[in-house]
Amino acid sequence: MEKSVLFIDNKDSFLLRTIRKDLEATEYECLTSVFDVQTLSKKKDTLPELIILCVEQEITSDMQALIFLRDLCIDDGHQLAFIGYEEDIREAKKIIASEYIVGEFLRPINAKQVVEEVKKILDRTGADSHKKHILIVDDSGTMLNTIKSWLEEKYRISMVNSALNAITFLANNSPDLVLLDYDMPVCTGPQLLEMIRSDVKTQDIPVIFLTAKGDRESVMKVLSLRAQGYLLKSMPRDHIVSEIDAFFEKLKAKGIRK
Amino acid sequence: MIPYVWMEERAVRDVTKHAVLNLIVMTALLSVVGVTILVDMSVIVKIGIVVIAFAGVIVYSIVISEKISEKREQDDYYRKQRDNIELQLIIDAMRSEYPFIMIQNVTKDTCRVEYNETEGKDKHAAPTINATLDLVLNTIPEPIHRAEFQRKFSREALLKAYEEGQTTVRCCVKQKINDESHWMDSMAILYRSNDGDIHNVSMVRNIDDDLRKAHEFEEALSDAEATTRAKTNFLTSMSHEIRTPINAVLGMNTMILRETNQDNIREYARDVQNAANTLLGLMNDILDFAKIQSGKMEVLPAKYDLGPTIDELLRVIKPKAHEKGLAFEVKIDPETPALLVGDAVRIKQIMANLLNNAVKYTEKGSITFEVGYDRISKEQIDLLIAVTDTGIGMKPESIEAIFSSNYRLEENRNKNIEGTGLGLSITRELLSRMGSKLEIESTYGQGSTFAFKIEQKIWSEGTLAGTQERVAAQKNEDEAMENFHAPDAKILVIDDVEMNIVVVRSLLKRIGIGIDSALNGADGIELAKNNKYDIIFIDAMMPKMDGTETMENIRKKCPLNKGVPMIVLTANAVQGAKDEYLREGFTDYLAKPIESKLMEAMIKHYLSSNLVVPYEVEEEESEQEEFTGVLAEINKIPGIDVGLGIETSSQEEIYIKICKMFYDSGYERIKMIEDYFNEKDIQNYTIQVHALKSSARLLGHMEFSEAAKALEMAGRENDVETIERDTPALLEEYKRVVQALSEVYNTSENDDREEIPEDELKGMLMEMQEALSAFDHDTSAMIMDALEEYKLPDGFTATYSKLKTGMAEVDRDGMLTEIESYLQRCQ
Repeated sequence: MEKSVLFIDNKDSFLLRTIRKDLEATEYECLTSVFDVQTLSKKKDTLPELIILCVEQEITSDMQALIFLRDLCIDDGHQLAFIGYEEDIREAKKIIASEYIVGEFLRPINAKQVVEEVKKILDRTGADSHKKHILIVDDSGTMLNTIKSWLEEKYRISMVNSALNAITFLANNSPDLVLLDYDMPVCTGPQLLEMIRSDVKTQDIPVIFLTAKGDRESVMKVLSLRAQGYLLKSMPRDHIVSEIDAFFEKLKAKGIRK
Repeated sequence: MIPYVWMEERAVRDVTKHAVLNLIVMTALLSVVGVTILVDMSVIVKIGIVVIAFAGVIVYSIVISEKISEKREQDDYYRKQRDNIELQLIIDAMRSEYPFIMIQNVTKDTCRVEYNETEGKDKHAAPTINATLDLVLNTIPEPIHRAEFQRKFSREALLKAYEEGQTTVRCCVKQKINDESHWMDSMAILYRSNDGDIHNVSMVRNIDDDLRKAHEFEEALSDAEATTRAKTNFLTSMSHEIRTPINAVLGMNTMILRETNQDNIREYARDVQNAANTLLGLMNDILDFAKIQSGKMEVLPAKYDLGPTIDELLRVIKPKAHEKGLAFEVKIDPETPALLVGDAVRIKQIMANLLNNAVKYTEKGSITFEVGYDRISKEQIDLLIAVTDTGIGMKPESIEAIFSSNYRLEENRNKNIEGTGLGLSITRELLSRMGSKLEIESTYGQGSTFAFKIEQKIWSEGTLAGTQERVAAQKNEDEAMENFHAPDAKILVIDDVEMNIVVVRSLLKRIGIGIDSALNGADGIELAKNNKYDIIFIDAMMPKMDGTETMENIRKKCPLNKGVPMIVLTANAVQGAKDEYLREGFTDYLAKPIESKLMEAMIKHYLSSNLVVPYEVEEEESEQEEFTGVLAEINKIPGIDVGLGIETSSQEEIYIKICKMFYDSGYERIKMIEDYFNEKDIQNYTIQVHALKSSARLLGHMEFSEAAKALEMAGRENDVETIERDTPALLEEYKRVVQALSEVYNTSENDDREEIPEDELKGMLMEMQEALSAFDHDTSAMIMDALEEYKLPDGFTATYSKLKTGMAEVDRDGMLTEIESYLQRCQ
C-alpha cells in the first residue's frame, strides 16, 4: 500500500527536497503545497493523513491558515508534524494543540533523521524495518566516502572526519553503530572510544574499529578496548559489508532471545 | 648680636619680612631639592648661592633705604621690641627647617645660640667663632670633611667670603652627635648690620632623611633602567618569537607561489607575502628602536658595493612610487666611487627609510633621489645622499622636534600613516652613530629634502657607472649556479619547529637532494653519528640544546662528519650576529626566512663539485607558465598536455574550440559508447571509439587516444574479449576528463549558464550551513549539485572550490568556516 505525506513549505528548501527524494525512493508518495488557505481548501478532500509543516515566521503569522490547519486535524483526523526552529514551533503550537502533533523536528535537522521518523509515523511499525544508522569516523575523506558508498544502500550513513565532530554528533544522535578509524590526528580512535564509553548516554553504542593495521598486537589492543569488533581497511568491499550485516543480524538474534 | 634693622613703616616691614621669609622658603625648597644634591651638587649650590645672594641684596637695599628715609629719633625701646618681634617671626620660620640656629658677630667675634632643638648640640657653642669651630671640628671624624668645614667656617674665612661678596657659606659633612653619625648641613648667611659689623646666621640641620631619599631615588632610577633593559630583552625575544611563525608563513607561501597555477590563489599568496613582509619590517623597526634605547645599536663597517645596494633599493621603491602615480627621478653621479667600506645594511636602511617616507607623505608630484660625493682624499670620500619630495612638507617646529633629543613618534601626526613611525628616529640615531646627521630642508605644503653625507673609505677602484658590468658578471655566476641537481648529496636539517623543516624540504624539492631532519639537537647528533652528511643546517635557537651546542657536539662526537660544513639558520637579524656565529665555529650563516635561491647557492657552494649535476629545465614546465585563462585550467587536468594539443590542432584558437566541443559532446558520446557496448553493437561501437581516438589526440591527451585506438583495433578485429575488458576503464577516463572540463568551463567566463541571484546563493549557503550543522551530508551534496547548475559569481569561485574539496574530504568544520566567512564578506 502506498503511503503519502503532504509537505507544506513556502520556500522550496533543499532540506525538504532531500527528504522528499529519499521518501519517494522508498515508494512513499510526497505531495507539496504552499501555506495558503485557498490552495489547501481546494485539495481538502485529497489531502493525506500526515501533513508536515515547515514552520517559519511567515507561517506563524498567517493565523487564518493555521486555524484552517487545526480544523483539518480536528474535523478530518489529519496529523501534523513540524519542522522548524523551536521559537516558531512554539508560536504555531499556540494555535494547534499538541495532541494533533505527532512529530517535531527542531532545526538544524538532518534530512535522513526526518525520513526515518516520518517512515515510522507512516508505518506505525517497529524500528526493525528501518535502516540502521551508522556513523563513520575517519580523518580521510576518501575513506569516508568510499565506505559510505559501500554501505548506504542498506544503511543510513553519517560521516564525520574528526573525533571532536563525532562527539558533537553523538551529543544529538544515537546511531546504531559507530565505525571508528584507529589512527586519527589530535584524538585517536581508542581515545574517542574511551570517551564514548565513559558517557552514560553513549556507552551502549556499539563500536567497530576500522583499522589499517592487521598485526596481532594491534588486533589484541583493539579488542581489549571493549570494541564490538574490528575490520581491516584492506578487506574487500563485500567482506566489509557482510561483516556489518552479520553484526546487525547477531544483534537482532540477541534481541529476540531476550 | 641681633641683626639690627631699622623699620618704621609697616609696608617696609612686610617687605623685609617677606624677603627674609622668601629666603627661608627658598632654602627650604633647596633642601627639598637637596634630593638632587647628590646628582649634581655643585649646580644646586650655585643656584642656591645666586638665589640667596639676591635675597640678601634685597634685605640690604631695604636696610640702606631705611637708613636714609627714616627718623632715627624714634623710641629705642619700641624699636627694639618690634625688632625682637620681627626676628622672632623669622626665627620661628627658620626653626621649622633648622633645629639649630646660631648668630655670630663675625667682626666682634661673638657667638650666641638663638635656637636649639637638638640634644647635645649646645656643646658645640663657645664664646668665640673659632672656639665654636674647634668644638664642631671635634665631632667630624672624616679628615677631608674636617678640612673643608674649617676652610669654610673659620672666622677669617667668613670675613674673606663676605669681602668677596658671598652671602652664604654652606657645607655638608658627617658629624658625630651623641655617638651617632649623621649627615649635617651647615649654612651661614652673612650680612652687615647698620653699625658696620658683619654678622652671620648659622643654621644647622640633619640631612640623613634627604640623603636616604636621594638614595632611594637612585635605586628607583636603577630600577627604571633595569625595567628598560627588561623591556628591551622582552622586545628582542618577542621579535624572535614573532619572526619564527612569520618565517614559516613566508616559507609556506613561497611554496604556494611556486606550486599553484591558479591565478586567484597566486594573488592571495602575494597578498600574504606582502603582509608578512610588512610585518617583518615592523618587527625590525621595533627591534632597532629597542636596540637604540638600550644602546645596543652597532655600526659594523665592512667592504661593500654601493651599486647593487642602490639598485636593490630602487627596485623596491620605484614601483611603490609609480603605484601612487608619482614620478621617480634618479640623479646619480656616475663617477661616485662604489666600492666602499661602511655599514652597507645600515646605509641602505637609512636610504630606504627616507625614500619610504617620501613615498608615504607625497600624494602627487615627484620624488628625486640623488647620489653624489665629495672627495676628501685618495682613499676617502663623503658620500652624499639626498631625497627630495613634493609632499606635505614640515613646519619648522616639526623639524626641530626631529632634532630634539627626545624625538619620538608624534601620535597625531602619524595616525593615518602606516608603520611604527620610528623610521626617522632610527635614521637620526643611525646617522649619529656613523658620525653624520640628517639635514632637512622643508617648506610646509611644498615638500622636503632630506640629505646626509657620510664619510666612507674606498677599498677598491670602481664607480657607480661600472655597476651594470659588475652586476652582469655576478649574474652570470649566479645563473651558472642555478638549476642543478644534487641527487647523491645528503644534508641534515636540525630545527625544533617542524614547519621549518617542511619548508626546507619543499624549497629543496627541486634540486633533488637527500634530506634528513631532526627536531632537536640530541636527535641531530645521533643522526650525525651514524650518517655521513655533506652539509648540516642547524637552527640557532632551540630548546634544551641550542644551535651552537649542537654544532660543537657534532664536531666533537661525530667523526664521520669531520669537517662537514655546518650552517646556522637564524632569524636573529642583529648586526654582528653573523660574525659571532662564525667565531663560534659555524661554517656559514643563513638568515631566516630562508630564500630558496640563497639556500641553493649555499648548498652548491659547499657541495663538492662531483655531487652537483647541471639540470635542464624541461620545456613543458616553462611553457606551462605561459598559459592563461581556460588553457591554464585545462592544462591542469591530468593527462592533458595543452602544448601538445595546440601543436596538433595547429592554432590556439582552434584548440580552444576543440576543447569546448569535446566537452559539449562529451556526455552524449559517453552514453553512446556505453549503449553500443551494452548492446554489443561492435560496428557502431568501433565508429565511436575511432572518433574518440582522434578527438583525444587533438585534446592533447595521448594516453587516452592510444587507449581508444587499441579498442578501435579490437573492434575491427571483433576482439570482444579486449573490448569487454578495457571499455569500462576507457569510459571511466572519458567521464573523468569531461567532468574535469566541465569544472573548467563552469568556472570560467565563457559560461552560458544563468548567473545565480545573490539572494538565492545566500539562501542556499545558509541551508547548507544548517545541513552541515546537523551532519546532513546528503542535503549538502544536493545543494552543491544545485549550485553546479548556475554560473557562480567571481567572488564565490574560491569558496566554491573549497567547498567542493570540503565535500570530498567530509570536512564539516572547514566548510562551515568557509561559508561563514563568505556570508560575512557579502555583508
